[in-house]
Amino acid sequence: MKKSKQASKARDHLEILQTRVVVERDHVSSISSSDFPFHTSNRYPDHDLVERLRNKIIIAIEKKSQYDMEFDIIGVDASIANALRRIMIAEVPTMAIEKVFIYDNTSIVQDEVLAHRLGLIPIKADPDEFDFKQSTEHPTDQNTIVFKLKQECKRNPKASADEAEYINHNVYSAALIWEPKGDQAERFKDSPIRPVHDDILIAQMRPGQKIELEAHCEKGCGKEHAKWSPAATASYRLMPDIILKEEITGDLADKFASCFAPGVVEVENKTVDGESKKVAKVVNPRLDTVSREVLRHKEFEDKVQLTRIRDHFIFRVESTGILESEKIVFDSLQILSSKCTMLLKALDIKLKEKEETETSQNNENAMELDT
Amino acid sequence: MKITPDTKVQNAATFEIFREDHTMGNVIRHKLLQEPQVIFAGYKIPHPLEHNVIIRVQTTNETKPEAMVAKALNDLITEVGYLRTKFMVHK
Repeated sequence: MKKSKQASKARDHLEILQTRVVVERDHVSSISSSDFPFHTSNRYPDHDLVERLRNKIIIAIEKKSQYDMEFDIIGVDASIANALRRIMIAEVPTMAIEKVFIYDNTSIVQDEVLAHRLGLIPIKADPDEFDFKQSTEHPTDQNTIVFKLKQECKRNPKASADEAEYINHNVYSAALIWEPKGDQAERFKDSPIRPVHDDILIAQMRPGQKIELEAHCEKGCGKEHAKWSPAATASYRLMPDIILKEEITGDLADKFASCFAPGVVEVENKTVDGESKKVAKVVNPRLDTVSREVLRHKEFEDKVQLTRIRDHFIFRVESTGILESEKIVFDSLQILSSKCTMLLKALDIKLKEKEETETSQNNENAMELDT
Repeated sequence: MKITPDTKVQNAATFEIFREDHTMGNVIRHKLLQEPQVIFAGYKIPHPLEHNVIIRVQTTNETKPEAMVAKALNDLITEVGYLRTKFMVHK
């Protein structure tokens, strides 16, 4: 009896090591994934990938608004989750101001600083409608969006005491006026191209100062410059899992609950043998910050284990307002698979080259033998 | 992409992939390690200013590193495709 209990305890421990990242008082253990062949009990020499995926992968959307979403991916390896995160930040293309032609700038903001500030303004334009512009190519209506900005600051002679002294002294992103080229006016008549926000302060001027410029937007990726990144934040964390090894009752239960973020642990009243007692119960581990406060108290030392589920990723994707969050995620999946296809093609070409050189070498050898 | 077979070890090769980074390197390494025929798989980015990754693969005698990388990529496409259909359901 004792032996089997020990065995089941060992099995539990092994399962925790395989499926959980364990957060301890002063360090984090069991970090690396052990999900590969011949590790402990994993033996899947003739595994069917699709079958394994079908049993494992779950996607659940937790919160969704147009430009902000939280969703769970369960059952993938950290490398895939991280690849998706990296692609969302650095490889999903958008449009941003890349070239600025300054006709007149007498403000105190230097030309290059002004150009940099313009570049960082998110531009509401569907990147799928445009092509990448190579440096050798000329701008066309297929790869460039043109904005004009012209503003001059003047004194307001009729200003009352509580009114601004100047007219047009704040240059906001709303001053960027889209100039449709070619068939762009027709193509984007349902969603005119404009800055996402109209109230981004670009520069401040004083009477007599003037800014006049033309800005060209091009398509690009976040890995070249962060201004092209469609994600304001794209991050993931692992789902916390609080394992109670023993029941925590009475006043200790209250203390236990206060160790966690609000809503994670609740104290319930349970009636056992006609007697009511307080029992701590984990209700919503998602809200937990995994602060380790509970591990500071001696009384909870052997009663609780803080863990995170190794293959349960909680993604949070906030958009800059150019693309919808959902589209950023969907595009990242698309880009990941197209990168794979591209590499497969490259590999194929290399293999064919190798084959050709080998056969031609063989032929040469054979000819030598003949002579 | 550039493939260099190892001169000293059988069934081993390094794959140099240009203009890729940790995104693909790590994911391919993980998928290679899922294969029982792969003895070794690792990746590195030799220099932060050069935009390429080097993936080294050693396999058993049953197969070739090139075949395993191709399988890894195909498996990855399947998995991502699967994620995509799952994601579509919520759309």
